[in-house]
Amino acid sequence: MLRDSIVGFWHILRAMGLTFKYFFTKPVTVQYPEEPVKLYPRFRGRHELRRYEEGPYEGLERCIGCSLCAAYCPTQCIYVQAGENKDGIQRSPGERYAEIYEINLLRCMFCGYCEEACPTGAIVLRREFALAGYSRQGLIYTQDRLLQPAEPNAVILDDGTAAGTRGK
Amino acid sequence: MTTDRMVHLTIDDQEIGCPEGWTVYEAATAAGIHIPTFCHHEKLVPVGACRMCLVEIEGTLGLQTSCTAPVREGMVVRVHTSPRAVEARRANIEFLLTNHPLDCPVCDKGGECPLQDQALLDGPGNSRYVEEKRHKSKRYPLGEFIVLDQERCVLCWRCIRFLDEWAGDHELDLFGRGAGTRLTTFQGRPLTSKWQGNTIDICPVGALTSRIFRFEARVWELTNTPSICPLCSVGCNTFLGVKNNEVRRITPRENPEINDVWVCDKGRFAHSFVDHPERLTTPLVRRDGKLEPATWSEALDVVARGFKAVLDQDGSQAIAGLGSTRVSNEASYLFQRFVRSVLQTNNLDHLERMPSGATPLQSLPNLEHRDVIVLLGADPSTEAPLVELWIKKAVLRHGAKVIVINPHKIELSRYGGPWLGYRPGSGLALLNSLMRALLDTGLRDRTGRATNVDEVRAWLEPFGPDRVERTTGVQAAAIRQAAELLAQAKQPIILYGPNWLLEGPAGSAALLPTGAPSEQRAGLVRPALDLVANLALLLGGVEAGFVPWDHNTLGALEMGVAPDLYPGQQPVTDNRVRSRMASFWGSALSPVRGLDFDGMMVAAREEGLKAMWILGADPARHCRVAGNLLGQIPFLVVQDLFLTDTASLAEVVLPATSFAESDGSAINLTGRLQAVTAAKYPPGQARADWWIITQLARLMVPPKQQRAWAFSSPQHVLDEMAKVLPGYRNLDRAAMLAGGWQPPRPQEAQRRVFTRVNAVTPKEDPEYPLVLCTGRLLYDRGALLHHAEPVQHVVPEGYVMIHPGDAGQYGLADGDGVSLVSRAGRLRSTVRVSDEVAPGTVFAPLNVNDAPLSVLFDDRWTWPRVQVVK
Repeated sequence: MLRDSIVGFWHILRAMGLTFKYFFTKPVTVQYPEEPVKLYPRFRGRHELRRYEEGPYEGLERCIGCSLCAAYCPTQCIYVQAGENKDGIQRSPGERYAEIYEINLLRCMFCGYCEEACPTGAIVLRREFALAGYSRQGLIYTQDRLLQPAEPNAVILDDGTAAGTRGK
Repeated sequence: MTTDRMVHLTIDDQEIGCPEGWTVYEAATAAGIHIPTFCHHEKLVPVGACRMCLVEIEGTLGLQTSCTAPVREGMVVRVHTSPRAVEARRANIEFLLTNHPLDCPVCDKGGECPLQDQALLDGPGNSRYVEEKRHKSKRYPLGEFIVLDQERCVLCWRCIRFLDEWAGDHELDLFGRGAGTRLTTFQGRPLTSKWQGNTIDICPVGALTSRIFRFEARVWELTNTPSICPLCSVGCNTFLGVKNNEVRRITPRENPEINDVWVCDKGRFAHSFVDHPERLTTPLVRRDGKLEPATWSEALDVVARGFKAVLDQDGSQAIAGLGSTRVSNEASYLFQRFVRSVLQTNNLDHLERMPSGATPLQSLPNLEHRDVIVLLGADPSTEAPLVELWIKKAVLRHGAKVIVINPHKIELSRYGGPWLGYRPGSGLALLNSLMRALLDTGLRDRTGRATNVDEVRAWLEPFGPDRVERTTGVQAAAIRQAAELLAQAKQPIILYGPNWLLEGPAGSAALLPTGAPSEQRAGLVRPALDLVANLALLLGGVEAGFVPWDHNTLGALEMGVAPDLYPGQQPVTDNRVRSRMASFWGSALSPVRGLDFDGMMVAAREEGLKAMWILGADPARHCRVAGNLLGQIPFLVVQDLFLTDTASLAEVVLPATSFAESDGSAINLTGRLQAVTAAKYPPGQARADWWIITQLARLMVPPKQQRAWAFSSPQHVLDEMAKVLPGYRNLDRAAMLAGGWQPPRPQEAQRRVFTRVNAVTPKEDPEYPLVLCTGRLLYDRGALLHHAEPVQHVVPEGYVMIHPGDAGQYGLADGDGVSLVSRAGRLRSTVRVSDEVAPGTVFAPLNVNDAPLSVLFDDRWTWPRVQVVK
């Protein structure tokens, strides 16, 4: 019985040692939003629909409403309804554009397959991660919101660090 | 030509036997050996244009196109075992892809594209072609329905061949040569063929795509539910492609007995009425003179109390029900059961009723093998387009002749058969005259079965073609030409339509006052039917088939929505039948024949009709007599898809479902039962007809009978129909879905006796010298099509067609604004001068004017006489 008490006491000491060790190390908690969050370069956050920034199509939407992202999406959280560029209004190059483009972020698992399927590089997963909302409806992101680029309060870790984390 | 002799050949070391006359491609496909093709289509004559099906045949120089090479005894063919053929096909795909734009992501064909499939299966994977691709027109509308992308076209001729071989409309062709060859129409004219939509289906690339479905959905997003087209009596088998609870497109579903693999443009493109924003979405109840939205329990309560009050005060004879030729069998069956067993009356009818003596067509594909086709007041091109397609097949492939007997020159008269354009009202005289001319030709011995041929000769004496020329307006030579054709025909057939039936009362001068009993009214069309039977008998007992206009014309009659007939067309006056029905329905039934529609209107005028339930019909628009009288019925209940003219007069309006939203079945013009399946949810609170009728019945019947109304799905209704209708015991929904279920046809005794039909010359009326005759257009502004915007672009403005001779006499020119005046009313319209109408006749299409043509009609049974006033 005495032996049990000694062993028990030793275990408590060891556990408390660990506690005290972390008591004096720097905490992992980030004081967001006062402080920026560190993100790895290949972090996948909220989607963004891109426009052409230069060249003959400058300013036009890249999305042609082909629905390949929706076809590839494993959670079926993307809804696309295409429309036709006509009557002198050109929203994207060619004949077809996305009239409705919605992503249900409550369902999305940020796998990035949509990005992979996209033939024009229109949809990309950027780094916006602050995706809380007050209503379910508000988390179904519509085209006008997806077309707005958003930069989160974050620092992107450099390539070296990213390389070091690979495989973890 | 395929014969019974077998030929043996070797394909890829496999011994194959096939009938003589097959091609190598057919033999290989039947043996399960895949040969890629683009230009070949099993329904079209092979041309060997695309070179995709090249194979090596031993003993021939070079490679052969297997789609055009006929099989020979002892032939040795190598498809996949010949490196030369494999390499040639691979190179061919690469060639096709060099100039094919890679715009699959925006192409509506993507996902069901043979070029995509074959590039994946046999293609090289990546392109060696780095130069600029060839450029042609990319967004080139070919008319209202199709858009052409010339860059995607692989020049396979499929669309051209379909329009030539099936539709007989040579509108598309290839122009230019070499690399600059383009598919287009002559001088860039728009496509007008009513079959053009089929070229979209058979195009092996995305060159021809639909303007209606353009960018509506990717094909893999559509749920394709098997269905039946509700727009004419053929009942083409279709798929409804639904995305997001909206019907996005309709494609044909193969059924060799009905539509083969085709569907007309009306059936394909006119579907947006299903999702139209003006659909009724909630029950409406009249409060303080205005129709206002109500809940189902409120509305059904109002209806139940309304009917009960009338039953208690005025008895069951003061209530009537009007069914429809558009609703499903299940709805029709329950409707008549409700009116008969709950409202205790036989006051039941529907408009456009098929007369009891008319026989349905036996089979559609059989039309192909007829050598002379007589169209009697029927215009299949506008009324039942698939019938036209089968007739065209007979004409274009086997040289059949079409005899058109119609006041209006119809599309099918373009094949050189005689057009007997008679003045409406003189049809009986004309047909008598045709029979007289037939007897004069000495007709090969066909009439042997008839017992009274000599009498007929005597009856027909006064109807020599020369003598009727003046009354009918038909040249004697044309009648003789038709008689000559018929006399030589081996397999003639007679098709007659609803317009022919109106010749009965007109030609026999059997005009009745509207107050006459309904039996007599039903007898009015008898002479027209008798004459058809006479002609068929004279030709040796050939088939005569009725071509109705509406989707479920046969079903409405078969389900017993009639004052004199129970389901299965059993008479209500038969005590044995009545007691059998009473035991099925758990309620006593009225033994007296009910009022037909005209009788109901008379009762309404005399204020004897206190309540009426109208299911899916719009008599206020289509029957002038009804228009004013319906408003006088104190308690009118209307069940429909839209707020029609009739519905806006009602006390209660109940929103029903369309064909796309509930399960059901219909009987097509050959008597075949076909099923539709719900493909989407109804808009708002609209409910299926069977549900509405069942709920109402449960509110009205005493507790003891509640179990008799315990239907919980249309399948239960179908089960009861199988028990109640004679010969329907094996009724099977699975069979109805897979090609249709044919109830046993009643064996009719072969007619052997000619019936004498007296044809009276209609009286001339100097004040109203012209006769108005109406007909359908393929696209009109009718109840459903009016709400299908895409096809509204091709509906013409209302017009009245008049013969150049008459136009000269009355000083009218093309485009003049005129009033059509009859004794009943007047209507504004525009003149179209054309020799496509008989002299002394004016033709006006139905359902294109803002005001209905029915304002000119005295009754439903005769053509009105009119004058045309500037």
